[in-house]
Amino acid sequence: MNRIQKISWLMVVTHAIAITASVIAVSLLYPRFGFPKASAGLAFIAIAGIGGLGPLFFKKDPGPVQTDERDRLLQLSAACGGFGLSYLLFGLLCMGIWLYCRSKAIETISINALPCIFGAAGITFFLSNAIIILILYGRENKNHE
Amino acid sequence: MNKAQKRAWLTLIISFVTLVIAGAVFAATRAGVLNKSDHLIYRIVGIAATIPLILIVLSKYCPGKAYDERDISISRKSVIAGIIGTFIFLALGSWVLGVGDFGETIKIKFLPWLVYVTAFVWFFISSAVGILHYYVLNRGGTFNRE
Repeated sequence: MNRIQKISWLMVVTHAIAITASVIAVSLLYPRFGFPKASAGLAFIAIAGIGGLGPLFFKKDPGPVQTDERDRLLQLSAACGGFGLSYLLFGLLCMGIWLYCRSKAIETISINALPCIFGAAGITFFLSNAIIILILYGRENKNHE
Repeated sequence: MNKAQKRAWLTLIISFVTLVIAGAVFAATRAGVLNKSDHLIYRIVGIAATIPLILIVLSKYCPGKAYDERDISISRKSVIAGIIGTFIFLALGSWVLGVGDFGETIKIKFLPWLVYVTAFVWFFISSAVGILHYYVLNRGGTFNRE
């Protein structure tokens, strides 16, 4: 397992913990306090930020060459895939909210919805980028065997 | 000028014009120049808004020499730059809408606008970075090949 894969694993694990903890916290707080107080459970999303420290946790691989052309190609494919998925989620969220509000004749929404939508798109990008990197490396290794 | 360069120029021009028109329509709506009850104008604008997307898809078939290794490398860099630029745009957009004179709420009609404009910001930044690479950063390579 190379450094990029280790960083991707850390990203996947921290994001999974962050999302699970947030969902549990919100579902525990909601019956007692209701929204907007229950949304304080979303603070657990901050755990995902630890995934960004991966390059500090994992030392560089020995040798002068850190990444080759294949690594760069895989990372680019993963970045494109991650962006595609995050934009898909962003579009679905925006259009879904718009359609829902139109059907209920709601003219405006809270400004606080925007950072939530953009944050969801950002988290989707980092998580799907890490997952796609792991899938692509797994597929490449299987082909080499 | 090869196929990749032509496509980058076409995408840059189409996305720039689209963003200018979108900004003008937004400003006209805010200023009250466009009559909000006149749904026909908004329907025409909505249908016309699909034209740039169709043109960008069709630009794939523009004539010219095929892509080479250098074009693919530039394309990769411009895609990454486009992704970074789009996320910066979203963060700035959120900040502007948050601190602007929009109050505590935003109108739901902003949401489809955001999806549309974000796509064109991505097209614009990625094509602009591609052209920057062709004409400024990798200039020697272009002349050597031609």
